[in-house]
Amino acid sequence: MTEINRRQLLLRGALGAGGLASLPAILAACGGSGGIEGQSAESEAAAPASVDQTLAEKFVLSNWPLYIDIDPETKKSPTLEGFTAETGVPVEYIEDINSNEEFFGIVQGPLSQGQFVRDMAIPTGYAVVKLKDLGYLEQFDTASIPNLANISIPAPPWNEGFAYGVPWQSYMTGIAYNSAKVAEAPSVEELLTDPALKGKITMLNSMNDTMGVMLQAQGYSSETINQDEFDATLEVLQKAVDDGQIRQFTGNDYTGPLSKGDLFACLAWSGDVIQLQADDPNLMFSIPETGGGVATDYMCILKGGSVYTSSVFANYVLQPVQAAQLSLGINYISPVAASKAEAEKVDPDVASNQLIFPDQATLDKLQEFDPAVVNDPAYNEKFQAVIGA
Amino acid sequence: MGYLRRHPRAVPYLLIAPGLAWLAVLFVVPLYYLVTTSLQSGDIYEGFRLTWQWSNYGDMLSQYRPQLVRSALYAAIATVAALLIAYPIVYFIARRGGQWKSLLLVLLVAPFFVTYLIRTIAWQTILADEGLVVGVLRDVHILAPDGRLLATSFAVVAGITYNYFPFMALPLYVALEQLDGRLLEASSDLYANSVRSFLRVTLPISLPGVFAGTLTTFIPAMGDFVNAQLLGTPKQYMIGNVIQSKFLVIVDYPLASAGAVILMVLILVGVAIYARALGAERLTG
Repeated sequence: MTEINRRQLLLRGALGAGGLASLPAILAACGGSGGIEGQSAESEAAAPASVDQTLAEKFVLSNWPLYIDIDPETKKSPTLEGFTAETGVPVEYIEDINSNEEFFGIVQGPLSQGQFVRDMAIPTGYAVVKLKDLGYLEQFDTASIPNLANISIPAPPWNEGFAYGVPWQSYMTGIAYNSAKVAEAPSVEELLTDPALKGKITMLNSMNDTMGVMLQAQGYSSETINQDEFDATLEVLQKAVDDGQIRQFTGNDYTGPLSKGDLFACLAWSGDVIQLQADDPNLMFSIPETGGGVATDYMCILKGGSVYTSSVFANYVLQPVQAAQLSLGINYISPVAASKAEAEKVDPDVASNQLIFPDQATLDKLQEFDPAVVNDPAYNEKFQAVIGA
Repeated sequence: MGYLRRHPRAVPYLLIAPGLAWLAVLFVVPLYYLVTTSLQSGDIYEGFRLTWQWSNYGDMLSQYRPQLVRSALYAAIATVAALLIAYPIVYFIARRGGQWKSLLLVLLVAPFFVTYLIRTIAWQTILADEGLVVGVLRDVHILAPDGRLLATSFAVVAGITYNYFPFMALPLYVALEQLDGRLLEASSDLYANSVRSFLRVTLPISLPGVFAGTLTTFIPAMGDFVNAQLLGTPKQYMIGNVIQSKFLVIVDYPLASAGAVILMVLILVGVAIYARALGAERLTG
């Protein structure tokens, strides 16, 4: 994040060095955060009628850390290498999405001024909705992605035919615990009230993850949320904060304290815990009886990115063999069900892991959080106030 | 060059021009946008418009008073702590360091070549519940058996103190290094003991360093949010955390800007009072 900011700063500095003649340009650059009116209409107009069918000279992709397969020997990604080998397009791969909110903050300024940022980024569904509503996304050239047929999860209402976002991987939100410290998986209720866990648990700083699990524990739905249920649940959370029960609200950074034993249990993402288990078999992941969360990260084309190259890339990773390779490499859930059969050929153990290749019974315990609520500033403000800021 | 010979009075203006341009581009213009943004209303979908929304300031002040007070308090404690720790060390290096002076100074500053974030995360390990420090403190009953350091106010203030330590140490060093040894000799010739010499000679002469050091420590410390986020809990969050969250998470640029302006004004007022109390004009000549 700092690097981008510095780059922007240097760019603006360079503009400044160009002399006072370019002052208007600097003023425009500084004012970037504001005027974005009237751009929402554009996104609807950007129909993929005539997509230029030439590949770009290079493909710039932003992703989360530890979210692509890496060959331990070569330290390179077989997925990216394979794509380049097949298409001749080199990939500039940037791991700079640490949270959807921060990433949005970084790209919003340049995108609002129509500047190229990346060809593709892989944010979570609700963040894709926000980018789409603001007119910051190009539509995929779905005609160039025959492998869309391999996708086994339904397209959400905002994403008919996966035109704006092609699923990359899904992840579950549940409870991670250190079995050396607590005998069995605590319930959400126990996390929030058990004196033995006081100051030894964390929740996630993303509203959809924490409130998704909390709402279900209160007996409410997290798929369609109403104000009163949300407020009642938030009060429970507020009480746990006031009591000092909850030590912190975290992003990915719960992993260190959990494996060190500073945390006995926490809200966590399935793939993280599986990766941690390799070093510490005491770490467990459980989907709460009351229900866990599921969310999907989508590949999307940022305004100005190459539509055709991005579509070809999406088509490439949706092949069952490629999808299996990716899921085996990063331990998250593939949107391509046929990848399980491919994974069995390579690693039957992992292929039978319910956290990576879940069956229907497991999926039934999970709910996807209401995207309208995530993007509603009023809900966000309430949640942020409880988590301390 | 001919022009300059003919117009010698233009020289100072030409010399100051790059600095002025720098200030204009990197201070005045951003400040203008910060202040106008803080008076806007709207949201990210509809766009923000300048509506002279002064209530942004009222909202920030009333909703986030605890975080503002906490920021000032933490920054003040950390500044005093940094001063008390840095002064004896730097005094020793500057006055008694001899040929090792440069090396000792490098050693003092060397840890700060590591990036800020990594250093703060390192404190998570040092202060961990199951770590060595907490273990020893529990064994000697300074901490209760279930006591902890991490995720407490202590950890946050300690983190701030540590992270801004060089900003205190370096100005102090400059001040103490320049102290003329003959003044101390004169002082002892006049029968002052070492305590009296320190209080009447060394300390007053080093006050400009103390003044500079406390400012360069306090100002960034007040706006810090990393230490509270990594070493504290929501109960330790500072105004920097609020601004960060308003800006990046809630995407309410006007409120975030209002928070930043409030922080800036508070610091300016605080510094003005402090400078008055210490007689900065006398100090800085």
